[in-house]
Amino acid sequence: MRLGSVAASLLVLGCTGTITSPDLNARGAAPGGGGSVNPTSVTEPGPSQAPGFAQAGLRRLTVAQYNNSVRDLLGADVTLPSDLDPDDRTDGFSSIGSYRVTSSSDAVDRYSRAAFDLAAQVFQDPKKRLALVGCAPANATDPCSATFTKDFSRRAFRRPATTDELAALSDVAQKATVAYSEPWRGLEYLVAALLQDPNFLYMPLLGEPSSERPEALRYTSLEMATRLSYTLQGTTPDSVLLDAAERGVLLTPAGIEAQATRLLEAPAARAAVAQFFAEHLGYTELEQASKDATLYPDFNVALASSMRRELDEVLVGMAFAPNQNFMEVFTTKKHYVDAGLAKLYGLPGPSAGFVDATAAPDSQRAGLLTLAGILTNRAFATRTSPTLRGVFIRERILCQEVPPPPAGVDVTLSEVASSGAAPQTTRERLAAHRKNPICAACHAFFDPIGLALEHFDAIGGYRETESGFTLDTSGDLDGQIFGGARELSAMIAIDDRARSCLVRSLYQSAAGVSNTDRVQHELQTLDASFLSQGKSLSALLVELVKSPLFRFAERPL
Amino acid sequence: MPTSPLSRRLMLRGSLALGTTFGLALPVLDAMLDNTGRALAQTGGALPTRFGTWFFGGGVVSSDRFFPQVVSDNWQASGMLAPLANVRDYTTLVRGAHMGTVKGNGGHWHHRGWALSSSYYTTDPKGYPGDPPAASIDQVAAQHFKGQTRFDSLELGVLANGGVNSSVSWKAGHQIMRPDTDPRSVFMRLFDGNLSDASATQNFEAIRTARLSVLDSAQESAKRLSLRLGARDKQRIEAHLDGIREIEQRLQSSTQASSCQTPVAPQLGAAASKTSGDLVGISDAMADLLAVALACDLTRVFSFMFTGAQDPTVYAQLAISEQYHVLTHDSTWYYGNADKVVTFIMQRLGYLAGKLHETKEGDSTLLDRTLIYATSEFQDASRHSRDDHPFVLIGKAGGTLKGGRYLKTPSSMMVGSVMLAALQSVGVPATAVGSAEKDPESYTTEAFTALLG
Repeated sequence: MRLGSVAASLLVLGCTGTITSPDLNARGAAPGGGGSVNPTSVTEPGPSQAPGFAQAGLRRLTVAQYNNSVRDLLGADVTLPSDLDPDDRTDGFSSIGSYRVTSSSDAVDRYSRAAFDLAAQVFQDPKKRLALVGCAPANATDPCSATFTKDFSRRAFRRPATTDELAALSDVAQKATVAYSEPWRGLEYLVAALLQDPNFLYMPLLGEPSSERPEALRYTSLEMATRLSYTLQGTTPDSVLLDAAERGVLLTPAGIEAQATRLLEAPAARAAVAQFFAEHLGYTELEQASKDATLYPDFNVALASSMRRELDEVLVGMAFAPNQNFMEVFTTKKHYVDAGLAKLYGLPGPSAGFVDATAAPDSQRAGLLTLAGILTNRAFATRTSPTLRGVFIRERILCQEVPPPPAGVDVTLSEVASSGAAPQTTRERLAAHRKNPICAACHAFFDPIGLALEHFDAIGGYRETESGFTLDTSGDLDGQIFGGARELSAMIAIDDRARSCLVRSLYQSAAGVSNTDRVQHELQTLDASFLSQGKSLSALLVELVKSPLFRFAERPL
Repeated sequence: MPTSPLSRRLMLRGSLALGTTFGLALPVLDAMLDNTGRALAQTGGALPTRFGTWFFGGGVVSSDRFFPQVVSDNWQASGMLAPLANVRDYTTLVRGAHMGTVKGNGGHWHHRGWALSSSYYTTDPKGYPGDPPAASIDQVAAQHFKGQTRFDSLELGVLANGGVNSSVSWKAGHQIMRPDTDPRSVFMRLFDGNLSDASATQNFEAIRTARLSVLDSAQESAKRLSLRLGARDKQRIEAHLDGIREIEQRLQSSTQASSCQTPVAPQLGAAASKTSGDLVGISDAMADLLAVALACDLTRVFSFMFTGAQDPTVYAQLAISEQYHVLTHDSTWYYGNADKVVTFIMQRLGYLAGKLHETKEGDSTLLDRTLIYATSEFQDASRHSRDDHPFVLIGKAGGTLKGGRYLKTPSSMMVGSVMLAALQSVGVPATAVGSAEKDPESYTTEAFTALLG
């Protein structure tokens, strides 16, 4: 659960759902604001005041970034390590954790072993090593080795290596060449050294002073190459981007726009957007979901992974289609199914592979909230959870803070309804929470919208009734009455909060920051451009990386 | 390893004396012992003591149900504790101590901080939410034993669930020690010395030199990088440098002849799923490796995460299809069915303790010189309880614990008091646990001295 700093100050009963309070004084200085800011002097942050950007600092590559980078550096067919230190997703996004996570000795050991293993995979295969190096080294200092060292280290470090660094690398190659009497082993050790070098494993994004905004630090052109590439493609910069960076092109919005547009055309950009949504919507571990085999005999890892694939396809398709209003993802009738998923949806399915499919116009199946992956991810093994689903919509779709339940409360639902009879439906069982005043303030906030999805069981299959009893899926979203999932989804698709939430989340993920209180003004600007460009997500990505939010940093702690 | 009491020559003698038919229960260090079997032959120094934590998530249903009815110096193994019958004489049961009070609205969370470090989350908005401010007690012990063995500590686990926060070991300052859940990987680390490809070649020294140059290069990079960083990031790079130095030290001390006969590599790898897998197989393979690591004095400190706090494990072995954490909050299910989960967990703890007991060391066993500090995040996960915390302490810690006893602390005592006594029992001269600055309520300086003696 994403627990923002705001949650700490919310009273248990005060389930107000405020996105972020404009009253900073109540919370003191915000994270990212630095200790030097006097909270009482901050009111409405504007462009002329202390910026509130992300802090300059060191990011560790996430596991996905490491894997993508290694594939780009060594070739797509290398076997990737399976036991790297995992990402820190304390605040939902691995990018936020990447500024914080520390490598234990064991983690460093794993990086080291992975580096030797990866290098060996390439250099102990004559075809692969020749493909990578392009020439056969005669010794550790010949032109072949020297050129490779220079080029490969530039890719791995995402900048040209310094003279000192090149000397140390050359020393490694020399010693290994001697030890094995074989210059290829020299380059193997050199690659192993680069893949365990902190300059590869971490991204120093430190910025430098500039006259453009004297109160902040501006990321250097080369740092911008790293930021653009990992944000838009999830991987290390290619040579074209590094060349542009070395020309200083990435210091201006126009230069950034040209490169960003180019980067977004590659397949890697689609994968990066898919990764963003998996983290933002919290389904990175969908394949690990456990469901009761008796109740859901069709559920297995393969089906879960098809659900994941459908989510990726629908979200990414909506993000990259030209002039597409992305918010229609909440109402779309589009599906992407294989035979297993088609069966679950009751749609005609292919005999092999995946195909596009369309749900019936009058069905309750409408958009993202009713895709099987989302519904499966927010349910228990044996039953649905309107609470989990409602909290999901509040927190992830509307960016509202939901505090955890108070300590010491028995959270078990009663098997006896208030009338004394056994409750028939989940709605009736949940009614206990809405009656108990300790629970009611919050459960009334998220249960009704979760109950809108009750026609979908714990793996997202449609059900007309629950155990033979009629389902009531009506409710209201902060006063707007809906009859069920389709109407709720239609409301969310045009809800300003859902749109701003997406803008905010994209920024949080790209910049690796939790708290956005002090950049409200910049986020509003971004939101306005999202709106004016027809809510195209790919256009929003370009606007985001051009914006001051992405180009500037605050001084580190 | 300049401070090791076991010189390399002595170690080699040890391995020769063992011959080639290494079995896990062989007296590994015997060749290095004097005639009494109670001290080291060359120095007359005492045999090492060891300390480890063993953690499982989800509580014990309730301390009243988990522990025997009568407090006595001779408890009887039954109910959920029946699986510990084989090591009952080595097992000290402790209950009664409490954890700190809820702060803010974070009190609901299943935190591992109090039960393992006597410190709670910081909620400092500028800090790192979620991490206990003080080091876990295995790392307190590791700091004391540092440098005396090849590994300062071992972190073992069964399922890799929950990312970095699902760990039971950490140093202060957001340094998570993630458990290794792959028996083959643990084997490689313990017995391979990062030089497997070189050990059979004539160029051993040259290859070692080349490997060291790789580490040198990484170290130099880290140092140059550090100069450009703010204080917080400097600390992170410093931790990374520590990791490189540890590899370097192991590389420098490795020899072609192993100091300790290598056991057979485990066939079992990590579970494919993060929430379910061969819990028995992996846990027991880890226990086997741990027994050899302790017997060979490769480390004196370990942490073992059978499951983590807020345990997402699906106990498919027990015909359960839901994540355990979810079930712990269905109090009807929990009070009716969790006994069998806790019993299952105690069986694995019993296997580990039994393995250490089987492993002879001089005239006694490994378990005589070890203390396993086993606990969970609560007694009753359904209530997120903070009172009457359960501890199962197995081992005689070098003779400072009698074993077979069942003790109650005063209910006013903090869990930290049990930790302090446990640390002191193995010779770690700790005088306080927790964080006086970040969680003063849980900061503890008073040891539960009744444990000792």
